[in-house]
Amino acid sequence: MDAFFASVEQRDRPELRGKPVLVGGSPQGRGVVAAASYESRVFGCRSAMPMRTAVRLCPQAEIVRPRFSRYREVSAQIMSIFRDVSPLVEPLSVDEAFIDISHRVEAGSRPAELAQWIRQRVREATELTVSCGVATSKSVAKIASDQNKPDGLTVVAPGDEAAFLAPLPISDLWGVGPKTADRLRNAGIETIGDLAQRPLPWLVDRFGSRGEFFWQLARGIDDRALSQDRQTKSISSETTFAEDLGDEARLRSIVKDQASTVARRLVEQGFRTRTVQLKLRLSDFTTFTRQRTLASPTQAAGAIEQTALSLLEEQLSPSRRFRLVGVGVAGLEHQGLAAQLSLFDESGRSALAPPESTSRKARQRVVDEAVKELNQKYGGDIVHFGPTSTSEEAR
Amino acid sequence: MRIQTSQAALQHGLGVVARAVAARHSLDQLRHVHLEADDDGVRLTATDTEIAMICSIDAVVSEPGAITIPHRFINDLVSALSSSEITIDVADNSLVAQIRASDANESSINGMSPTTYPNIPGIGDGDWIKIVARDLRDALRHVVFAAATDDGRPVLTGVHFRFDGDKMTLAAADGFRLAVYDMNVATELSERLEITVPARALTELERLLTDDDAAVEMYIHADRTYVRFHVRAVQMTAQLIQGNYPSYDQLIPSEYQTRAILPGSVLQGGVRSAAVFARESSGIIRLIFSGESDDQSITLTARAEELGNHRGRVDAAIEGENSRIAYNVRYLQDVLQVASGPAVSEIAMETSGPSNPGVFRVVGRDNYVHVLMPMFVQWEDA
Repeated sequence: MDAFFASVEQRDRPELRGKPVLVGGSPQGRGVVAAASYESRVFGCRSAMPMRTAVRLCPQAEIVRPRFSRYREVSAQIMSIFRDVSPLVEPLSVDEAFIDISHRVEAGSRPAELAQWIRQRVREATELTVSCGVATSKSVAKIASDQNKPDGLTVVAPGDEAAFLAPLPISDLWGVGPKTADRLRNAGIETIGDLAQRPLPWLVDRFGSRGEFFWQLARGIDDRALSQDRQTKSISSETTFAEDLGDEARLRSIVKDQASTVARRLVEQGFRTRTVQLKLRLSDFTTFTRQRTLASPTQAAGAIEQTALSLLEEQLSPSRRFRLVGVGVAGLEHQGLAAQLSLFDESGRSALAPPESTSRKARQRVVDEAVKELNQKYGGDIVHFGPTSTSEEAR
Repeated sequence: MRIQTSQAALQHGLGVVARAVAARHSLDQLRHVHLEADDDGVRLTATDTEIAMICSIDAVVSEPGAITIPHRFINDLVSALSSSEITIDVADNSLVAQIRASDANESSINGMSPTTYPNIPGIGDGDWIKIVARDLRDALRHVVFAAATDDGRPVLTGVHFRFDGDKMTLAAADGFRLAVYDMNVATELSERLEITVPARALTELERLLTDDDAAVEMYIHADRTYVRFHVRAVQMTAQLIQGNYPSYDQLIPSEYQTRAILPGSVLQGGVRSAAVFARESSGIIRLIFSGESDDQSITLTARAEELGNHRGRVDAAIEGENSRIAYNVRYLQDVLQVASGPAVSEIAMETSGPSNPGVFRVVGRDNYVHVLMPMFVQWEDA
């Protein structure tokens, strides 16, 4: 994500848009900049810089205290979009992740199109921009993603890795911090290309095994797989509302949709669940989770939906309004190496198909809401039902 | 409005339309029942906008009129009344229904103006098809369960109807399985016609159908946006699902490597035992077909992680190569449930290897085919 915390603040608070914004601690104390908006970077502000220094560089900057819970919410939203593309996602931080798309590419998807789709979905869902790097390895993809920020897309074609890396400053290389960068520069290595040309023993002499790692990375050699050691323990789908929501019918329908999303992920990742959870956050930010254990493990959408709905039912009351609802499953059991084969070929339901929000139910919900609002506003019966003549194709 | 009816008739009518009431909807009208009295008699209507049910009830109309009242409320009231005669009065320009029972119970229920009630599309240009109730019920029983329940691909939540001459073909698929049923109808259409009806509507229709020769009239509106079924005193209208239904004919394998024939009830019994284990964990049931001359059988195995294992064997006539396949036990039980009814003697199971679609047929009936995708599993000795 681009200037993630600062962009979230600018999105949530329109008065900050177009202005230099520094998210972080107080300039009086020893606060540090957690994120600097692109407007403030013009003045030399950077993240991780002492706030005091940043304010000296850009005295007109708006200083905003970080709201980490908010960033985590947005982060969950983004990661869930990533998982729509591939179940193999390795989050690197709250706003950064590796996505292994090799199986999609083998099935005929074009990497650049997948990246564009991700960028578009993130923009639609969060109004934030994301920069993507597409490459055959983790380190090159990471460096590529930093090249065209903000809102950029860089594709490094297979075979071009070393040529792409060569002109870049040595500090861009994975694992090279400021101190290592200084040592390398003192030895006459300014670019990644310079490093690639040094003999391997020279590097190993000075940097040990890290030297060999750098040498390989500099030549575009990196066969590390996505780290899957963080085993999936739970799967969830959450929605934070722009305005607190009390309408029971809408809450039910949102919970239903979330349950079906969770069930789909279970099937895709080959899990079954024993525990269904419902997470709720009230207007006053009280957050709690209710859960129920099933008699036998399942991945059936119907069972998850019914359980989630009955948990919701217990929490509904006319006076209660919700900031967030989410459906999750825990106590996952893997099916082992087994998968239900599909009747239709994959092209029939590619991830590039219209996103779920345009599903029939979701559209119906929008109509129901509009009808209700109009009737409330103008009284009684201003809107009537008529015979329908919508067509999927005409839409 | 003033009508007189019996408690039994009213309770029956409210019960029929209850299936179309959107009891939890945020719009009041959809939780209501619409009462209408005119020269044609008394009709109760309920709709959740996806389907609508209209039920005519026996009643004497002294004064025509209409009102909509909360369904749950009147339904609970009428069920509680023990008297046989019920009078419903709505004074002109009033939105209150006065309900008098012959045993001196008297209630009033506040309603809403009937003009705010959703319009149920009527009859106009379109096609009429006449079907025997028993045949339609049988057809629905064979296909509706295979339709998708999540709306990832909306057309798959429906059952596809194809009319060609006097032949009607019903098909449903959810991405893992496909059920196709052919039947003849009493009406011959002049041209080919294809529609997709929500599976949910057909589940409701199935409840209304009796196991007899009664005629069911199916009306498909000319603009192909809705369908209506007339079953005795009940009319059910459903919005059609728009969009192209996948061309499924090509998904039905025309050849097989192995075919097993056995009584449906025998296979069902074998699967039931294995299911006890399969359901506890991964839902996988493995079928191993042996076609040796001295051992023609299917071995069924299932494993419940940490709980135990099961192995069962049923005799079957096997044609073709030895082979094996794994299915999700739920899908397997679904198809056996319909394909091994009392009228069925034997079923045929066809496979073409562990990763290719399996086919289920009823021996002696070529009008039903069920295609089921296997589970991809590791076979221990492979």
